[in-house]
Amino acid sequence: MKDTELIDLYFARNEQAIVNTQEKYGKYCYSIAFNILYDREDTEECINDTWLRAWNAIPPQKPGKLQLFLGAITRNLAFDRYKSKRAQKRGGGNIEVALEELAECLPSEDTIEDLTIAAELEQTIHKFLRSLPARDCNVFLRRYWYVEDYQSIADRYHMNLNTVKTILFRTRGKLKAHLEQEGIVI
Amino acid sequence: MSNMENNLSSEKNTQKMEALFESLQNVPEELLERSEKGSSVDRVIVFIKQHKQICAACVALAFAGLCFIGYRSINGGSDNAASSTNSVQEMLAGDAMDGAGMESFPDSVTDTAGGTSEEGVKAEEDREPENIPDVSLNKDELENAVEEIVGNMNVTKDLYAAYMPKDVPEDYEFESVSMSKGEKEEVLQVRLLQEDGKYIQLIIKRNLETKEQETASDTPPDSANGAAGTNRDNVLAATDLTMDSIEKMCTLLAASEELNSFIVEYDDGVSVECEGTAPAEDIYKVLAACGQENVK
Repeated sequence: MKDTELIDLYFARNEQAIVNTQEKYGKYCYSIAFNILYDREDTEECINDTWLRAWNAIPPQKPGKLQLFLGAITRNLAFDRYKSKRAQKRGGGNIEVALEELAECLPSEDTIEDLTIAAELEQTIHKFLRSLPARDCNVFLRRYWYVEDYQSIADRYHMNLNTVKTILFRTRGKLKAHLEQEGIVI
Repeated sequence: MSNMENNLSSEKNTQKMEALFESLQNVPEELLERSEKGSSVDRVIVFIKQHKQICAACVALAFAGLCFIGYRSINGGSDNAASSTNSVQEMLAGDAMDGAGMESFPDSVTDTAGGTSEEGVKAEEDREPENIPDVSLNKDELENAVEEIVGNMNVTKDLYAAYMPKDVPEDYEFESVSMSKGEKEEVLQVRLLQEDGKYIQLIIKRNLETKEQETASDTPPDSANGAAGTNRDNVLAATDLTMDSIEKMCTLLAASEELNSFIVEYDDGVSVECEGTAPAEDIYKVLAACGQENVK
């Protein structure tokens, strides 16, 4: 079923929309949530929340790219769930490692001038991502947006595992320099 | 530091990491979409700044080209090109990166996902550049190498020949040049870097679907691509390319919170998306040195 037909079902408030969305994008959303939560039960609950969130959002929203729309909802919900679980105990899996890697991008304390608001940080990061060569940007997003492991990224782009690691290492370094240059404080 | 202070510091750090992770939530859709399409790209060639690295990349390219020719001759023609280009891509990407200078590489890289020894990776990557002769390549030699390989592979040669900047302003070096071809478009990406870190990046795209439609219907192509979206304030026709128009674009980008680049559209359906931190004058020089034969 085409995305436009799926969205029409949402607009018609036809519950078949959820069934068909699950069929078409269930695996995609599941992999995003599982990479973050690393727990089947949590992932399944998160996916159910995703369908509900989509049902409530469409209409009025009419996503241009339904897949990315659902992916963003899933990532958001999964990360919220991860944070609330983290308050109780440490989780595991990709997300812990991905977050630790991102710590390398944190600017040094001595660059502090002012507390950067979230929107500004977001804009700065978008600008940074656009400045990257396409390949590096793709690898970075697969790792830190989709929270995929190195091997999956290497397989996706037909790269050596070491190449993926090298790209990520360099890109994190570039991001740190970029944030410091922009006077960003997190 | 007491345990309590340690815990507080750790918690603060965790919150920062989470803020960084969350700031990626609203990444532009086209970037996410592009990352989805990565595996359909036919091939990528990358040159990285510094002579040793360029040499490494060229050696890899030459080797890849030879392998490709050999493969084609063994398999009897171009029908098998699509399947073989993946391995070529792997070779190019892998070898180019393996050959890249790792002077700034740390003693260890955080890794728990990959499953291979980082010490081994580092040792391999550190060792490789020492084996590469310290011979510099000038721009002509670089271009010849690219032309030869691209010509042999029959991919993106036209785009490269027409839109690779013929000249670059003084003090700028090619940091990277990459070419890729997917089902819908072919892309030449050029990044120029100045000593002080100022850069100019051109993403030159030819929409292959548009090209086919144009051939079929003989009607003018749609404006080049979706990067501009519906907002065309940052789109410039190649015929209007002047120092003044580029200055205006740079002023527009500096004042805009949303726009990061401007686009020059050519009559042959190619669009050149340009961004950078370099002065308008330098950007103009680079743009004036590419694709001019396609301005009617």
